[in-house]
Amino acid sequence: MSEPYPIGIANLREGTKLKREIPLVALAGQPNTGKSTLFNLLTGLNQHVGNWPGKTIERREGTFQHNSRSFRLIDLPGTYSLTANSPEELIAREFILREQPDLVIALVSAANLERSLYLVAELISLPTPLVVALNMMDVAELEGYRIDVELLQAALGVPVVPVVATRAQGVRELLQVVEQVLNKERVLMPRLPEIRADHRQALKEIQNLIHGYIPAPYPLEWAALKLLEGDAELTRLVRESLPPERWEAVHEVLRAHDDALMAVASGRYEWINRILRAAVTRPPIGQIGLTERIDRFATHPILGLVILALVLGGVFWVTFTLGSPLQEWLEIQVVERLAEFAATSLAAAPTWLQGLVVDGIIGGVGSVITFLPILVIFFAAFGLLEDIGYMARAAYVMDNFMHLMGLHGKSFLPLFLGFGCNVPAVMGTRVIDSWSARLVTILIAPFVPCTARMAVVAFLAGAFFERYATLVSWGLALLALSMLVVSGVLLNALLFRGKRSAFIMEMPLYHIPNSRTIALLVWQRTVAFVKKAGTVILAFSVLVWVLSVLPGGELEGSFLARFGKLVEPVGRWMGFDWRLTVALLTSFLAKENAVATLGVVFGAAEEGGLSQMLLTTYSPAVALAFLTATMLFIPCAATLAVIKQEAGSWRWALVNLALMLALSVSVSSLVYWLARSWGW
Amino acid sequence: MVTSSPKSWLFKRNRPGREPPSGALLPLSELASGERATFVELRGGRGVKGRLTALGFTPGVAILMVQNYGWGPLIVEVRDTRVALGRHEAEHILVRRS
Repeated sequence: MSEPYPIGIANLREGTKLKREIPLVALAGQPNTGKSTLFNLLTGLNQHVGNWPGKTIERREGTFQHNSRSFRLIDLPGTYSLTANSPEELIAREFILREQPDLVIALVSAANLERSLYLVAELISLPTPLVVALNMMDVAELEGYRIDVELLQAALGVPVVPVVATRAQGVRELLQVVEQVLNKERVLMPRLPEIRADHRQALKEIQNLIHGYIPAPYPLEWAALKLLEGDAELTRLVRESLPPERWEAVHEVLRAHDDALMAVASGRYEWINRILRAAVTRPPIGQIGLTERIDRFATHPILGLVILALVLGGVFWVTFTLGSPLQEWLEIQVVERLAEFAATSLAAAPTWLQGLVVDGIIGGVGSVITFLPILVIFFAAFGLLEDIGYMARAAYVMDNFMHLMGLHGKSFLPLFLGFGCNVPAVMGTRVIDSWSARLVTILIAPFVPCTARMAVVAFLAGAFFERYATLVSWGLALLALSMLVVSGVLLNALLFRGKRSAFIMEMPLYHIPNSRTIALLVWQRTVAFVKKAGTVILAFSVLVWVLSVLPGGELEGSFLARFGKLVEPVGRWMGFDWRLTVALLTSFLAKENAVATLGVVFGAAEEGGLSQMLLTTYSPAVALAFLTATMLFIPCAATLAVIKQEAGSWRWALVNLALMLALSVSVSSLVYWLARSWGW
Repeated sequence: MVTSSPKSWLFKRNRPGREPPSGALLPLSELASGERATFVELRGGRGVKGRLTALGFTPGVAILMVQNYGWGPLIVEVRDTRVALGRHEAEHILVRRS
């Protein structure tokens, strides 16, 4: 059993029904119905991405115009039902019940109508007016389904509008209907699902028992149904609102009907099937679709892994082939020119101001800017794989391996994102549905060698080991990944006693990617990265610069150097002198700083000179130990800040810090000692 | 169906189950690829139950085992939806062969 998130109704905003000037529309739908595509289509860039209050769940809100009237649109989290199985489901239903939007658009997939109507079966029983948007009509036609929209509408009793969100079809019609319903020009006569016949009596008993005790805004019959479904949040609420003897009576009924969840769900599916029988003609059984053809290979236990390896290899190849030249170009054409320009225009200014602007600010911002092309390309490749539906397959074939750490396939996706940058990886753990699995994934994500760390390692390995540089880089990446597995196993055993979480995941149909959806995804991830990493890196960059010049103005006698000398004894275990120790410490700011700092302490202007100096100064044993330490060293400041944000407290950020510090020092000392004893 | 693949050595169906008498309950994980069964009941905690129910696992529903290699996760089709399940979860879903 997976442990629930720390959730509670209390910290969702209390809402009161007020007359709104701008109508509030909520967009609800199951995952894989094309909800974000429709949301992006309606709002374009007029959207704001934030978090639901007190939660690390994305909240997207936007505005759109129709007939020169403005509307507010809220994107509810994608959920299969409205029972509080997950924080997403709780948010979706509390929003509808408490904020009382003027209308809910329920998005369903025509290619998957039976299952996606399940959420409609829940929404239609709530008091808010409902309009159903029937998406993916094109896919449904390809799969051979024939859907009679008029009959569907008549059977549901609420308006149904066919749309193809990927091609922007049907949106005007949808908004037309939304406006008609808001203006009360269309009367809704929803047909409601009922609980399976053998449980009607129990439902009635519970309704009688809780009548008059259920706090607003929960409808009575809805509350009774949720009790029978075993909804944990509502059960808690009712137990608190009811006098003890009444709760006893309710509890008694619930105990006698512990299979009621099935009865409620069966009732809903009976309702769905009645509707489908009227409105849908199915394709003959046995037709082999595109998805089945691809999945024969993509989900094969061996071939699937080979395909995954090829796909990942391809992503890296594209990222670095396209990204590295861009990165160099930006470094030379933009950052260095900017630095020169700043230096000349500040020529008259005091030296400390010059240093602050050129080394502190431009240095910090520069490392973020030059890093962006690689990240954007990586995000685009990742977004493409996500949009066509491949990511679910990647998660599936990795499930066995992830079980080693008590995790399951879904944890693989954020970890993969970590090869680009650890910051989005930690944020990406939001896809994992159990809290314990998510926490373990957050804590091990910084072991994934990100592009910045790989760049440092590649440079240093090149300087020290020349011919064997590639071999050393790959070896170190493998070492980091094996540390990830070891830590995962340990953390899971220590924190959660080896408890494992359930792996239940829909495998969506493959479909043609939508460039708009991917572009917006890349845009949002990039903005999130720049906001988080950019601000943290800039702040730390300035701070480290200050520490490296005060009090004397020279690095040699600065606070940073003093600190380096202070911890030098620890550095000695790994064979480091104070310069390597300081370089390692400054990599906390941003990984690429390890090289930059070495450049400063060796006074080497260009990298070629630095390579030569490093080679003559340090033995291979020291070099290897330094590379190991760099690879495994504590996450950069930006990553640490997101760990705190996503895990909810500094405690976990500190756990991660301690874990990685201990591992990097001990493994690197071991490497030094072994290399020495081999006479390197 | 996958069984008709020419490269059948690579896509060999693992038939994990002993043959129980027809009509007997068996865990979903015992179905071989391509086999059909009827969902009977779910042994598991509230959370898993709730999630599977919303995905369409209700008593009497037809389940098609799409892929089961006898180890690791498996894929079933329920109500026109493909769902991947961990082996542990599949062991707690009881079905009747049809």
